[in-house]
Amino acid sequence: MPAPYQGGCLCGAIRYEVTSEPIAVALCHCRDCQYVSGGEPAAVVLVARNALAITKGKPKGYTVKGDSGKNVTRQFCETCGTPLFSDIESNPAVWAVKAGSLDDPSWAKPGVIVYTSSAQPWAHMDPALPQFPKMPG
Amino acid sequence: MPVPFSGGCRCGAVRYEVSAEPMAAYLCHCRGCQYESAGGPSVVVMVPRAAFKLTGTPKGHTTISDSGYPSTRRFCSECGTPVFGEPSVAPEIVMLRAGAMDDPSWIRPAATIWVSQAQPWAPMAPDLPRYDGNPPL
Repeated sequence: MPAPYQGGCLCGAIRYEVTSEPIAVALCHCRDCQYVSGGEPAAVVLVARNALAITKGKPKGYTVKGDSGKNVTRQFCETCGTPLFSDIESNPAVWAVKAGSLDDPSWAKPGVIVYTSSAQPWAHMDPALPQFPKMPG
Repeated sequence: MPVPFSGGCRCGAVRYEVSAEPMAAYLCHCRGCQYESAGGPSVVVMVPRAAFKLTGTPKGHTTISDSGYPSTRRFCSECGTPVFGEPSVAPEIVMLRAGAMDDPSWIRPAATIWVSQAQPWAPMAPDLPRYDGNPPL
């Protein structure tokens, strides 16, 4: 996907732009991502922290402790509820952008599946993708 | 299938109890559900409104769904968790999101719907029927 690319929430109150290619795209089955994503995994596009700029609006953040014991703050639109991106204290060099909020998510093909140990039994996983019970490494 | 069953958002501000078995569960790939669910499908679990008891005050965002009717997505304004949907065309039904059930493991999705809008990389179980739009009722 040629950078820059844009995204935002369903109602249009929040818009953002990303100015670099993603580092990776992952499907995450952790229980917190399941809450946010209706039960299936969240498709997250990892981008360099300084490559994402909010161009309109102000998302709200909700913070939980991740497996590392450090904070994960999930940013969403207060008007329509769309999850947008997360900042992860244990990996401060990236934003984890929710693929559903990209204007064009079609190119955000996941390359890895993580937190399979907490996946719902009915969640289908592509057998061609590498899978990790939690995080790789 | 455990009845009654309960659920709610990640932060606990919105809770519900359901006193009837779900009528059906689907994996919905419409674009509105993709915004809600980070790009993958939303996992909708249909229950009778008469059996649904809500505590807390989720926020609502109403759009015209791909079916052509207004539909309201209910989410927690504190943590952003999508909890349920209210289709105007069927006010006697509440469409829970499996991710916000206390235990989503026992649901049995019957079909994958709105595949016409699915992202090309979205995981889809090969053994479930697929529909371009809504399932036949």
